[in-house]
Amino acid sequence: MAAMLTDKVLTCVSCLDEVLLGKSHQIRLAVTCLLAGGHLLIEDLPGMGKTTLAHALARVFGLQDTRVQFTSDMLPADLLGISIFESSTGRFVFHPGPIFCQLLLADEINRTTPKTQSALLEAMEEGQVTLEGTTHALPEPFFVIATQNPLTQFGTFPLPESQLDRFLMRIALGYPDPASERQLLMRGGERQGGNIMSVLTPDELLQARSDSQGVHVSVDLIHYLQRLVQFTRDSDDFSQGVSPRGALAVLRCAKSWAWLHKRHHVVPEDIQAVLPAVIGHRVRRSDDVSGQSAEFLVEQLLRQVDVLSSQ
Amino acid sequence: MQKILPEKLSRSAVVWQMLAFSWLLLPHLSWIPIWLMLLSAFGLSARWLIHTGRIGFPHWSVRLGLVLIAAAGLGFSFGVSASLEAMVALLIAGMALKLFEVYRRRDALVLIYVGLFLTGSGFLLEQSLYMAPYLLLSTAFLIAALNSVWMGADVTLLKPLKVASFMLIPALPLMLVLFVVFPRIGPLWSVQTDTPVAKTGLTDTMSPGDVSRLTRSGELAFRVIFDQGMPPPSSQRYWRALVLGDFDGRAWRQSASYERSPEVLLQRAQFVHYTVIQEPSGRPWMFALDVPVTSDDVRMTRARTLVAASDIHQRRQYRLMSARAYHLQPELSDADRARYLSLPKDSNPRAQALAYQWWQDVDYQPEAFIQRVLMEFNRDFIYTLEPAAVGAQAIDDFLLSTRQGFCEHFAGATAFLLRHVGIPARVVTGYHGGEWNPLQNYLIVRQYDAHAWIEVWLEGQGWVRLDPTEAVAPERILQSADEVFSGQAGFLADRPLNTWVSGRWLRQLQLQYDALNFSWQRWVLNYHQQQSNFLSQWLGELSYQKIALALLVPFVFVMSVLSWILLRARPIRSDDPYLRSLQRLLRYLSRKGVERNPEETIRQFALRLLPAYPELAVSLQNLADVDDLIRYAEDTSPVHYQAFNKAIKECYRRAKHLSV
Repeated sequence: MAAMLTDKVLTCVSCLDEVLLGKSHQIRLAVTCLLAGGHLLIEDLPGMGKTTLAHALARVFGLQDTRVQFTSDMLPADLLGISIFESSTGRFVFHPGPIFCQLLLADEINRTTPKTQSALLEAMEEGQVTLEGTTHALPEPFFVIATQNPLTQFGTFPLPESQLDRFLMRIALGYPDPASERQLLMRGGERQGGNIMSVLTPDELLQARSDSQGVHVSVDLIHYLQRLVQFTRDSDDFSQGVSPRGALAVLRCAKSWAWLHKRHHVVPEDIQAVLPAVIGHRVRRSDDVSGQSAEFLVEQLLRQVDVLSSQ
Repeated sequence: MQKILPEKLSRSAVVWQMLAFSWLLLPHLSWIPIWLMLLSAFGLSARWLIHTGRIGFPHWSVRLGLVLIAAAGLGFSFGVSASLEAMVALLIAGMALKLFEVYRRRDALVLIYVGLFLTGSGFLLEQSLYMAPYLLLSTAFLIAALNSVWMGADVTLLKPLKVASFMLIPALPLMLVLFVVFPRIGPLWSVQTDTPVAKTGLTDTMSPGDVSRLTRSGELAFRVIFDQGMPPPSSQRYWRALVLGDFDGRAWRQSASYERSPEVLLQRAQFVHYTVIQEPSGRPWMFALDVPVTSDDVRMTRARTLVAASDIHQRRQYRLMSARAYHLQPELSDADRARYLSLPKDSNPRAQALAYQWWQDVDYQPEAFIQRVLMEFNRDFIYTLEPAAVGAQAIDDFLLSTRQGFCEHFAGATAFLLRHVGIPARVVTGYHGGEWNPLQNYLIVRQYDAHAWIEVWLEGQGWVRLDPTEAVAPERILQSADEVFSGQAGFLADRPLNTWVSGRWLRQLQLQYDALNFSWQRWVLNYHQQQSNFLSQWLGELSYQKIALALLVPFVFVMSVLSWILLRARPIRSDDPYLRSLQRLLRYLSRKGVERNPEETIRQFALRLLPAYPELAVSLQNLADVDDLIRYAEDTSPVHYQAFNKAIKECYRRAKHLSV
């Protein structure tokens, strides 16, 4: 049963591979993120396939999705919903906003004002929306896939660190490799998302999520993870170290990654695979204000912490 | 002010304090007064009883009483003189008293620092070969005590000593550098040693029995190194110490001479260059091979003997040159002639008569007379260590009744006979022979090698050495003293074990021990006499800058090595045997030229090696699989551990063929 579920998820992955060519690592990371029950931030230049990936993910996991294009004049109510007075009943009736869905695709999240950003992020953290004293639960599962342009782009509101922390992973897609790009060009730019069949039901996704968190983690692995985290705190290269929440996030993702690779236990490779995506947006180099060098910094971190050490 | 914690000293600290004190006390037990021993024992037991809580800290009145007792004891035993022994005893008493009141860490530190002083003072009393390692050990114990004071309360007993040895090991090269390079400065204050070395060896008078008494002692007199390596033959090894020219009827004495310049030495040949290392004798005489030509810095008397400026209380080393063929003082002044002919008027009348009778027999020929005397000795006399006692007219008794004697009897009698018939003669005392140590090529001369012979002045030849002993006992001159005398009653009678080592290997052992001791004295204890020579050979022209540099550079070097060792990131030894054997394998591989990057797991490492070393990579891959199971999987069965060991072995086997 469990193996079957894994196979199903892997089928999803191969479907996604068809949609987004040559990005299998990023796709696996994105799937891992969903399996770990976290929200995903995709950061890249326009036209790299961010939205395509997000759409395809929603489809393939059979999730009811909504896409919201974030703009600078957007208000929280545009996202969360609003209560409108109904003259027929003489009462205010709540009209849910686009956030009431299973997968919210928040396009260009850094284009909107901090006010709207924080409204979304609160919903992400709590899994519920509170408006005028009434709490409205969001559906289960609830995922947010946000995309954003790099901060150096004009007219953006960078997400503060505390809000970046709400995202389990941040990934960048990057340019496709030459072979994939040639294939893409041969297709003539026709979107593949339209004909994707959903492979998984939301319930199966929830099952897969709980299964993947049951993967065994050994003491030695915990030690390795702790050494990594400790290194970010002790090293002068990092302006701030990884928080315990960050460490827990790494562990969750590593478990999902291991599960996705049909392992019953987490190995250091799993941690190494997810680490850049999970802590990349949580650390910052001391001499870097923009936070663009994080990936490189994490690679350095991996290089400096010995896998086979006793402490 | 920050309070020092914890104030309660650990059991280990107490044990080390007690051990260090006892160890320091041990070499002094032979001389310290009995009350000090009791005080020390009392202090040690009090320290332990207080620590274990069986008794409390003594009341101040008790401590005051102990201090008064110690002060009174010091005054009683050593008087008011500030002698060396008194100072050391004061330190011991201070330490013993401090043991009663180690309340805090500070008190323990005082105890230990005084202990370091006491360690240094150990060398003031004895500088033997054993003392150095002994005191080095006591330094280690004191540092262990120091460590244990600063370590936590739960420290084990041996840990402080272990740490102390690790601290002392890097200090050893620095100690050597300091020893070799540090300039020897004269003492800032002089330490008065009021128990001078007991006077041993030859005296400036010689009466019958004086020299043979020395044969009771096997004590070392001096050692000699010859520049040529080998010594002159035994028959020529006469070590000149004193020339006795005055005779009072029984004893021969040194004659006072107003002429300062040594007697003239002509036609010198067969020079011998050598270095004498003389043991402290408490007397000023120094020893030279017959007959010394020059000496570097030692005064030479008129009769060509060497005398130090003061009594020799410390081992002393001097270089000399002697001539084995020579003419000494070919012209004898009237005053000298009169001195070396003078005899008391009415002493030994029968000997005088005998001399005159022989003088007539040989037709007044000096050479023939000498031959006659020697012939008589050879025919009728016995050479013995324990001759019969002689009366007031010693020479009469010896020549006409007892007819047995030791070298001083023969020398004295011969000089007397010669003088009586008008041939100038004088007695020379010193040592003869000595034992050659082939292990380090030096000569050992002991007190039992003491000897007496005479010099006779002959027209045209000057002073000629004449050894009457040779006539009566030629073996004494050809062999060493111990070979001749061993077995005779009285020989080495003063040795605590009245048996002289006779076995061949025991003999060898003794020579080896002496050689070791000699090296120690020569290169360590006497180094200060050779330091400037040694350093200038090594550094060229000496200057303060050079010496400072020679001191500084090794210090900087040792310190940098130490800081490198201490500061470098050390892989911490794992408790996990599997991880350890894995790390061992990886170190082995890195020596073979294949190195794992720290971020690589075994599997990634194997993957990287696959193109270059496919066989090794496959073995590593297997190892990685098992290692994953052991290290990261939920259930691990013993089978996995066996598989792990097998996989490790397999990797070694594959790696063996890698070229470095």
